[in-house]
Amino acid sequence: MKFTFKPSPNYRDSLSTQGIMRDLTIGLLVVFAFSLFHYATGENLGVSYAIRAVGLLATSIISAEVTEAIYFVITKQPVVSSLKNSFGWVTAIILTLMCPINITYYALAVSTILAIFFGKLVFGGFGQNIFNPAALGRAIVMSSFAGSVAVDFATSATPTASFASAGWEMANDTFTLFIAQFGGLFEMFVGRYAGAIGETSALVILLVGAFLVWRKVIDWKVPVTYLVTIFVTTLLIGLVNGEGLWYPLFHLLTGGVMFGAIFMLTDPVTNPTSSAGRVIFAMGAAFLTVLIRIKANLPEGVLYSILLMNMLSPAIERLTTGNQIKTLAKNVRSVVIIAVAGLVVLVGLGSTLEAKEVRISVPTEDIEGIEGVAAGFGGDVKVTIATDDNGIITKVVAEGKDETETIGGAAIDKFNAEYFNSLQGVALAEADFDALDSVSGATITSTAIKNALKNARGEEVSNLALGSAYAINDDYSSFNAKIDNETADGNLVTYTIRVKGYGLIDPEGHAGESGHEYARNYYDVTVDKDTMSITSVKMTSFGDTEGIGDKVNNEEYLALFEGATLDSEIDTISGATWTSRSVHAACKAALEAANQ
Amino acid sequence: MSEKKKSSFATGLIAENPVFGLYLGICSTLAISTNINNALGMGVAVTFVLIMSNVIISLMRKIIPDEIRIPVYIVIIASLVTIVEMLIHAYAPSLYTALGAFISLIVVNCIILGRAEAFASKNPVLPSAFDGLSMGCGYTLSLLAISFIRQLLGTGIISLSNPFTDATIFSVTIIPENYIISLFTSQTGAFLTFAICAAALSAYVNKQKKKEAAK
Amino acid sequence: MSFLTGPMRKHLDGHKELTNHEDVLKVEAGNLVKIPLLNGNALCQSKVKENDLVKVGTLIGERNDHFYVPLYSSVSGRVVKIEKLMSSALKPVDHVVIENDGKYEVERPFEPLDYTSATREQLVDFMKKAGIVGCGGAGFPTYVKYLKPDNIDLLIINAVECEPYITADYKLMSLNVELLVKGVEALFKMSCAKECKVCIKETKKDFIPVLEKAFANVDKVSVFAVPDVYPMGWERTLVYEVTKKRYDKLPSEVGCIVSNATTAISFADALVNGMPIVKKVLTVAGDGVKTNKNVEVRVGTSAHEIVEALGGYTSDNVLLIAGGPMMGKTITTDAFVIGTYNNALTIFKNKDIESIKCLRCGKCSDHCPAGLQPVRINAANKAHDLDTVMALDVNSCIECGMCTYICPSKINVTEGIRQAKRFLALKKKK
Repeated sequence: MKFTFKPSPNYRDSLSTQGIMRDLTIGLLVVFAFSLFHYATGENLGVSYAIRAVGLLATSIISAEVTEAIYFVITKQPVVSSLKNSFGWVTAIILTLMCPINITYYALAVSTILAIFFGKLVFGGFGQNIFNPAALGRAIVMSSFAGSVAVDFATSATPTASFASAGWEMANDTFTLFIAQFGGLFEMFVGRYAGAIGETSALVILLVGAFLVWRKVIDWKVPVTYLVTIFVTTLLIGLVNGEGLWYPLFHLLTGGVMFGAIFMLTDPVTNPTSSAGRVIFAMGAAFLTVLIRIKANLPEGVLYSILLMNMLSPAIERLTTGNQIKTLAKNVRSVVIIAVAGLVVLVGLGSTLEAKEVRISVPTEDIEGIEGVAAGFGGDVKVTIATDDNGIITKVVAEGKDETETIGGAAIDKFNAEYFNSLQGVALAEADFDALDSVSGATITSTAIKNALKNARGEEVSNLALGSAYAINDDYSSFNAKIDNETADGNLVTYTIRVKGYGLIDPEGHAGESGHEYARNYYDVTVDKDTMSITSVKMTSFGDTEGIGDKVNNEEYLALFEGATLDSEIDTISGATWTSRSVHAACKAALEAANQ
Repeated sequence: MSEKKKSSFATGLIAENPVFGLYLGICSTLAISTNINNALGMGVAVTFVLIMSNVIISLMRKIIPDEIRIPVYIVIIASLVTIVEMLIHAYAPSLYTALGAFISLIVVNCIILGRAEAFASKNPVLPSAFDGLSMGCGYTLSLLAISFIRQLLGTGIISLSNPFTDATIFSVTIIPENYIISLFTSQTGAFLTFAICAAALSAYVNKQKKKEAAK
Repeated sequence: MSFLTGPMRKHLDGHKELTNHEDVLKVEAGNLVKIPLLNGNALCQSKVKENDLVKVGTLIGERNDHFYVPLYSSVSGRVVKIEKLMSSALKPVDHVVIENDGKYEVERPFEPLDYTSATREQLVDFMKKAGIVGCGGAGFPTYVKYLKPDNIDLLIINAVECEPYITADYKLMSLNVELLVKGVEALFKMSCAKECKVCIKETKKDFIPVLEKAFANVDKVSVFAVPDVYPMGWERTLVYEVTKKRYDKLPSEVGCIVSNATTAISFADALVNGMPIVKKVLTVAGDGVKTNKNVEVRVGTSAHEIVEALGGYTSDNVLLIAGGPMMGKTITTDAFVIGTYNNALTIFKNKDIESIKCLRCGKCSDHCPAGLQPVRINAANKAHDLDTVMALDVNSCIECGMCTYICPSKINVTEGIRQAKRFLALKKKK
């Protein structure tokens, strides 16, 4: 009969660390499952995305476990039991959920290995690290592998990045359009928009968070303090800038705020051990998140705020040393001081925010109707005109994937959002497309839209976007046209002429900016000596602005000069006036030479 | 005499490696070690200054008054560094641009002042010169170690070029561009690499000490 | 308890249903009865020698340092020897070994006293002579609390019994309600308090009406229900729960005196019957003993006899705990005997508990009823950081065991705090 000595107490709760980690893993996998669902059924996504997500998760977990296993072998610890009690897979899952879907396998594997090694093992393993290893891994991804993306898996811009480029401030009505791109605030709450693999769905994360609180895995005070502090701070900033309730809600729903609140700030190893400490920790992280978002050049503040507060955890513990009952008054004071200081600083900084120009791409509806096409700046512009049974226009939608983002694309958005409204209710046959406004600075795209509309109506449209007309007999001395050669064939004389173009004349001083070497344009101009008119113009060598002036090098355009005399006035190509006029200059030189 | 010399050369390289063992001259180490060219250039410059300053200070050790020895050392070292800087500027301009301000900072590199104080001021010329050589080699080797790792992992390419003519001596791409970890070209990578190398050296030295004690 | 602190308490699964509703088993004392010459941790002197004849109630020992505590024989017979045995104080102590003649002849050491007519001082003196000690587990000489009551507003009768498994107080009270009332009235008189509250767990829904009815006619004494959490029975937690005040060293600082309900009953028994504490009701529970029951035994009965009476052990490697599982200490022999203030034996099968690394969850700090931060004390102790250990107020720890109970990594946090205390004491001595 043995009566063992064991120091009191000899009674234990059923809650165990292994159970805590198991519940946490389950919660994380639920979030992951939602994102698989989102990928499999989302617009422009598909099952291949879901498969990739699974592949990424597997890569990360395997990298983590292998790293730990190697470390345990080298340090001569029992491998299997150490792996079980080191919970490396939790870090791997969290890290995967923080990365975008198009991260390469290599980048994720290397980041996981570095995160586990430098973030955890080097400090002594589980329970002893200072920094949240998943956050460290994500920081490594951000600093080293930002450009490493898998090309086949395109992602669109995230709301955070877009809002950040708008300066973290926006007028109320602009925001309505802005958020419509992503489906509205409710869609953002549910989580079906572009973002990191696991960070998008506030709804799922909050539900999992509630589960974890109930199972006593995480301390509810941390996420509540964090979210409430962010809400209050951004509410005040929003009020100061005249923005509505959407502003704090947007902050809460974008980026890693929800995910960080539930899964990363609550990591017991890296946050302070006392309740008061954790409240201070969460508040500090909230203030830093808002600060980094509005003032630093990073769209994502959550990650770095977590790492910075991890660094300050030992200091917070020192601050809250002592008997918690006796230091309660002191702790309350600390919390109040930090809260007030944080709010004052951040609201002050927030009031200096200025909204920047942002392109809001209005989602193009798919409508049924007659279609028209015209050549735009970078490619074709397509319009669809929907009419009712009486031939009255009900809706017009324009689309131009290849136009420039901020100029041509913005112009198309403006047409879609505003200018087409004037066409609604007008009979198709009577609509005056030319009377539509053009967007300044986007002449070519605007003209292309109008041409496409005409084309839809069945009209012949020249693919040329023509601008003002100039006389052949104008002063083209600056163009410095030189005749190099002359060949006669009966009454037709062909002159080989070289003329300066926009690049060499440089009327606005822009030539040379792109580093492009400009050269003269070479034309073969054939003149009929009998009629003193041009019979043909060919461009044999083009040395002017690429993408703009080379529209001149177009048979259809050059054909306009056929039959031209010194008295004619010929249109130029809109947006390429100077290069067009080099043709005029060549023709004038040819006609004058023929005249002699 | 040569036995002692041998052991002290190895000491400068390993056990008392100025960077990983004595933790001197860290700031220039971390800043310069992005590629092998810079490392070699800096290492040679420091070694030269170290040897010369050790020799000069050792020669003058009996006549330098104790109260003002530090300013005197700094004057000597600063003069040497200025000479070196001008030489580099003249004959290896690309190295000059790459090393930038850190050449001038050799003056306050703790290795040089440290060895002057600890060794050269108390020992005759030849041992001081030798000490300078071994410390300088240790510094250069540690610099090369760190920059090798950083260049390899951070850019994927190991290359060496002639500082005087800028002609590439060799350039080997070992890791393809998609697989480089650009973390290592930044300061973070410098700290991480430094930590690993220092830890590895420390582990090795401790093992040697244990073996010695066990004998 | 605020947003910035944890709950500092927790409901434990008390397993009270194992012994609550069973009858109390009377276990006869064996041949030899050994009375420990011990009061709390203080040693007592023997008043008898070998071959003396004693009766139930004979004075056999005394504590004579700054407190006076008399010890009485619980059986009649012949003193065989004075023997050193392992006691429930974890150290070997002199025991008076008496050969039980089975006759239980009584020699009343003092006369009953009518507390309604006695003066306060008489009551205090009576209590002292009767050797009434605190039956909450510590065995503190009760009369000391009532020597000079100064500005006492409230007398709290502690019927909470928050240790898991123990139902002895509850059983004793439910069988002796009248004695309880008398005892409470007497203590109330001695305390000169303005009010008295009998505190019991709110989950004892059957018993609260019984108590309320019993005290209905007693002026200024009421029944106060408290939450069913551990360590609600601890003096500090209970005083805070009732008065919302915290004190530094003694409850009298905030105008309170706290006494255990069984102490009140023992006092009443002495007043009415002129008998000191010679019998104890204790709970024997746990998966290490075949039957879980409350037993009534004579003071001096060994644990071995009690377990035998209940069918023996269920395994050959057990933890034999004097007291409840949270604060009771394991004794390495079942030859130790029940003293005047033991109220339970908890016996568990010995299971190895694997502890893993601390994950710094802070649950121990959140639940510590004294407001300490056990995880930090342990860490500072490991790092030999004396300053932090001192700053963390380690000597306020009463070793209630809540930190170890709640630790998910199954670390014995309490033991770490004990080490820190020893470390601190050692350094201070130097």
